[in-house]
Amino acid sequence: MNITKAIRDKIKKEVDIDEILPDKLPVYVSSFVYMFGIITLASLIVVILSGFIMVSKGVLWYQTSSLGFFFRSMHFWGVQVFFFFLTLHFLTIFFMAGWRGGRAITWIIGIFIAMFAIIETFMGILLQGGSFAQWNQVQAKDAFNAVGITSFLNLLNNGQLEGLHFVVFPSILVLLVGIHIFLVRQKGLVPPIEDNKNG
Amino acid sequence: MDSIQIHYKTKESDLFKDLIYTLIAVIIFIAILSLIFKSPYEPPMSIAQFAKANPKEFEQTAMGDLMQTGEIATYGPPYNRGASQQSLGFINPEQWMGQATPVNTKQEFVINPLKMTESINPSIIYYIQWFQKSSLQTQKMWETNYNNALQKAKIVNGDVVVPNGNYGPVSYMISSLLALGKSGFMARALDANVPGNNSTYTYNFQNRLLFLQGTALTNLATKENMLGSQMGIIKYNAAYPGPWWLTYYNYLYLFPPFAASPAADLLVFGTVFLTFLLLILLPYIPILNRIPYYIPVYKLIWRNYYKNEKSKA
Repeated sequence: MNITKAIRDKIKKEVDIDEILPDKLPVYVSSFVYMFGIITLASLIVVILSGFIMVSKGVLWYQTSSLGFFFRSMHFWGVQVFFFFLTLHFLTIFFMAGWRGGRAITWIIGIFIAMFAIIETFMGILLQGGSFAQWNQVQAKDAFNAVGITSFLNLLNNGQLEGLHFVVFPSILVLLVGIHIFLVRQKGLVPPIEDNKNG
Repeated sequence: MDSIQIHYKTKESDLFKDLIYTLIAVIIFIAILSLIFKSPYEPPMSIAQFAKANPKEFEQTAMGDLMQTGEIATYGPPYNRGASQQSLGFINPEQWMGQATPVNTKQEFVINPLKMTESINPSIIYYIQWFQKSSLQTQKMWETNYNNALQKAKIVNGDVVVPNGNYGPVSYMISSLLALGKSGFMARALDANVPGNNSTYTYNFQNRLLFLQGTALTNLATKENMLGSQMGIIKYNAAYPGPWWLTYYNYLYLFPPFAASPAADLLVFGTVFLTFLLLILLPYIPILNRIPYYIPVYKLIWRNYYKNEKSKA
């Protein structure tokens, strides 16, 4: 078996560039709810870029630099905007029954994105370097101990938290978001619920 | 390709232009929020701060660690042997996982940090050896005497003064630890004992946080209304939005059966896990996947389409 050929054939079959990047959309796409996903994506980009800048200068850069504190604030408010619009996106897609027409996988990956984002931001909170982080570290470790996670993730080990928060979880998130958007484009935006064919 | 879209009329669109304009708007919006409101920061509590402000509580914490009766010494897994904090019938992940990150509070929180001060306080070794060469019964007697005396202690110039009594080397050891605490070097001395850290590099702050957690951080959290029972995790100790997306998780703790359960964490984690499982499988769960039809928000979302396109058809 030629793996390269198999992959090429699969891509040819699944990827139709005119469908993935259309310059025309169905007429039912005419509500501001279609902005929720795109704003969530935009705020994720802001969070990732501000994160890049922060880690490039070192973890506690914000302690010595007002520019550093500004990017820390961008990171903080970016996450607030991200979750605000992620929630709206989730609720509207739910009420649009967005999993119809072979789109269940897109929905499932969306839920995984939310899960990983929640864990990622939680680790971010523990890395803020203030008393809120300190207190939540010792509080949350009881829950993590109780369910046996501490063997894999010790919330009091900042070195481990940094690796996961800076590299591992962002990579997973970017990958999942990439697949999610690809599937949304490949399957097309979910059509309106028709009264005569409920489902 | 899903043929379902082919039946619909189309209109011009530009996905990348939409994304770029949205991104620019979002960047400006977040930058304005950042410039006006900044972000929440309260300095962390240090061991030195705790030792200076609450010397008596510091010594009581240290005695709990030395006598192995303190919160961390009696915690059980993953720090030491003993019963789990939580289990549900046969479900006992703490025991299954064992001592993943072992802590011996007597050695690592008291004896070893004191030994590290030898070069600046040579006499400390004499007291430690005196303590360690004595029988366990004698050690226990000194410890109990000093621990009881602490309840009647007075604070004089930031030092803890206890009535005269038979404390052996314990009173000197504990007041030396208080001095180490005030110096600001104790956090480093605690970290040095954590496996994985070495004499130069520290990434794991487990022991300094565990030393502070019981009295020091609980007092701070109480003062700032950040206790778990006050929804502490989702609000900052300042007027900022916290991680409100954890509200569901945090809320569970406040209500039965979770609130009264000694295994609250296990129950809450299990419930959150099941909730996510439900969301993941939602497209396939009867009734749940019909909710959008029962509560027709979709009619609002696609109202233009229903009004314009369908009336023409």
